[in-house]
Amino acid sequence: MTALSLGLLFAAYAGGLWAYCLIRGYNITPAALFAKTWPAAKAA
Amino acid sequence: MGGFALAWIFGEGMIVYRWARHKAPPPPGALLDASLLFLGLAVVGEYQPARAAATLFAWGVDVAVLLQLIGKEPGVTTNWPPLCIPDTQLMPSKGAGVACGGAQSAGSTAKTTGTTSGKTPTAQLFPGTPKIRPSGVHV
Repeated sequence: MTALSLGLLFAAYAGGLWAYCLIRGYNITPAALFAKTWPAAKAA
Repeated sequence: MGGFALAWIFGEGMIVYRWARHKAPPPPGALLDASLLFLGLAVVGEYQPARAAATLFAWGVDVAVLLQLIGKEPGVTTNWPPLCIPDTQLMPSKGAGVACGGAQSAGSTAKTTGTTSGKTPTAQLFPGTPKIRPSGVHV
């Protein structure tokens, strides 16, 4: 039960953060969320 | 299982605190290793005889990490806030970000150039459209 809630909380945090980035217009792909740091600012 | 949940919150809290000092949220990837460790310990803790050992190990890891971190500045480059999605795209894509607030800064530049010319500022948002003076007379 603890493991399940831990996994759910982690998934909720990741999903929520991705949604926040999407609403703010940040160029963060779902894969980039799972890097150790945010993607480097390298303008196109 | 309260002791184990506290150990998990404390462990993740250390990571979140260090990121928060740089005014950036930790990416889930930064929390992934710790989460996987505590997830594994939580699975082990489901077995009743191993519950105390799992909780003790979780707190041991927390203390060990804390002793490593105390007094050290987090030397991480957060890269927060990240680049924004280009106007030509709807969804985020890999390696195609632009600096945020480009339209806003262009507008402020136009306003500055209009006021420094010494004349009454006129509004011409699009080339070819009639200029509108403050008096309302169209030229």
